[in-house]
Amino acid sequence: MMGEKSVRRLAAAGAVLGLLLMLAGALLIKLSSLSALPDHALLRGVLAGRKVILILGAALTGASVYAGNIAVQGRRRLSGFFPYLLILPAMIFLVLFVLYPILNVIYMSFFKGSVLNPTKSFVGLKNYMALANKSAFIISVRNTFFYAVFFVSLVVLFALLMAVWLFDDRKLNKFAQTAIFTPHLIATVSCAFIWRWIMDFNDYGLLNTVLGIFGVAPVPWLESSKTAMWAIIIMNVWKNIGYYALILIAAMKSIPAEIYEAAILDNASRTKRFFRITLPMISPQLFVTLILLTIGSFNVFDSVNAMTQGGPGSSTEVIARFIYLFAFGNANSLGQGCAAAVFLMSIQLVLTAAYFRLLARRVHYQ
Amino acid sequence: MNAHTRRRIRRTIRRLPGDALKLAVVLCFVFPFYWMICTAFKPYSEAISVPVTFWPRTFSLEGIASILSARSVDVMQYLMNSVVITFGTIALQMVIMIPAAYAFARFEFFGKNICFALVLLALMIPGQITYITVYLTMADRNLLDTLWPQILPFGANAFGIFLLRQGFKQIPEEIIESAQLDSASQVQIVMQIMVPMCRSVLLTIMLFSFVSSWNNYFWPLVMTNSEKVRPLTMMLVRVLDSELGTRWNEIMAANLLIVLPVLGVYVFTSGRIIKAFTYNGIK
Repeated sequence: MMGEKSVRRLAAAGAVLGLLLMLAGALLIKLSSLSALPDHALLRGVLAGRKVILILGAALTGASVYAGNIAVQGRRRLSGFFPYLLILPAMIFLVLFVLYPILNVIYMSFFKGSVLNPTKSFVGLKNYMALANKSAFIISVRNTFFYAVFFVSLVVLFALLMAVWLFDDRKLNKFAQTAIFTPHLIATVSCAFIWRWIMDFNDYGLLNTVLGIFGVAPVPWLESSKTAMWAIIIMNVWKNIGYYALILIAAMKSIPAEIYEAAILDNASRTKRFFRITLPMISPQLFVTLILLTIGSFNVFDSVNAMTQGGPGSSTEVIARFIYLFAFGNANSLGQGCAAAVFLMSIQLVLTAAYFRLLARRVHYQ
Repeated sequence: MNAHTRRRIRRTIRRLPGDALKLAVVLCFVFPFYWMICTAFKPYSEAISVPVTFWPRTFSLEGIASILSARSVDVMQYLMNSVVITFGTIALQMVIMIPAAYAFARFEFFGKNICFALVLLALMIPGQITYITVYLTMADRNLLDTLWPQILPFGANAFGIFLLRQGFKQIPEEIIESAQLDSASQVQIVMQIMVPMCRSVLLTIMLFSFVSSWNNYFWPLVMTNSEKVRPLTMMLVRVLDSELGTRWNEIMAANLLIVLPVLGVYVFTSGRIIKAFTYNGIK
């Protein structure tokens, strides 16, 4: 009789193999619908067996899960296959709307095609090569990085400041916390339109009127390619400070008071307490905040689309808008849009990995 | 005046500059919304008059009336669509989330970790990556330009599954075992014991879904073309493009329709909403 552990391991290996076979079968079925395929004896043979491969994979997965489940549940609760039934709807939705779309976007990025015929012809890496030479893409990447750098650093800076400033348990602080959080709940489009109105360049524009009181000359916020991206950054920073400040306040609340009391007994100054106690103690949350903000900043779309539509000129074009315009806009540029989407996903992955490598060891876990 | 009162007064005075600055900062965050409301109740001539008035000199319903009169846009249609999409999404999410969270919280089964990893993956992957394929799938099924592509892609609420699983896990084992001794069925256990005990978590998740679904802009923009199926967030551009030029009082009146429901919910549940949004399961 085999031990429970070895059965589980065997079943896991079988399930992985089965899933891979299913994936291969599905890919072959997709490929077989392509018109221009190289005529090769081996390829023809594999293609002929595509359904067999798919069914074999499904059978192997099913059998492995069956065996594995009996091994797992052996001596514990005998719920049989009831839990699979419970998670089935969720899994179907996640596969259909998350997992499959990711894989498919990678797949489509190797083809030239349009919305009507996404995989018209296989072009290998040509879509990626084309992107590297496309000035519209380069500009959108540069703009997105510009936006991300300033958006992330300004939000982190101001959120930290606000968190320290509004930390104490006072009525005024509670009220201020509630107030600065408000923009986070409001639709980005709504905020974008409010700020468009506030930043209006005509004499009745509110922001320029207020700045005028302080003697600042009118700024052509959304009308000039020099300031348009800053206008978008200001709007988004304004919208997000409150949320991240509250996350950091929640983190600071969990720091034991004794640590501060000990530091005060040691005559540690306020700044010293902040840098030596507060900052290290909230570093896990700060770290996660930084990752979430960075990933999010590369997806910027709503605010740009509602405030400037990428203009003036192409001064506020960003990657997400490039994908949107190329995937559905031009004829036969769907593949390039997909390649840009894969590129976007890769940037986010690489940056997350970089944060982990560079910062994770500085994060202090209690 | 005793020493205590004197100390308090002195403290208040010492704090005055800081508190004034705090109020000024708060004003920066709230004033844009006041400005929206204020503009919505100005006649067009006053909205674009100089000097700027910070309170409507002539209080007017011109903007709101012209939005509601459906002269250029059919507001009621947009509003209906928003309501159907939002509540449809919440309902669908509940049906999918409750059994899944129950399974993840209470059962051991082979492949549980992989399945849960898929839930976590969904938390990380942005719509900007997935929508191209979803668009093609919907096009295949002739579902583009309907309400479906604005509801179905959000069916599996990963954050909700995650949160509700934590909630279910905290329910003591004994309660469920005693129910099983009373030969309660699984459905009864979930619906009559676990769901009522996790009321507050569920309400939190619903508020969260309400806000994100109501505010959704990207998916309707990509998946739909016609006014018949578009939600309120799509209306602003239509108002902006009116042939009479940029009527800011009308745009702000339309904006009011999007903002007020969320603001209203926030006023009554600010504590819970703040808790819901700042909970991220870190640590």
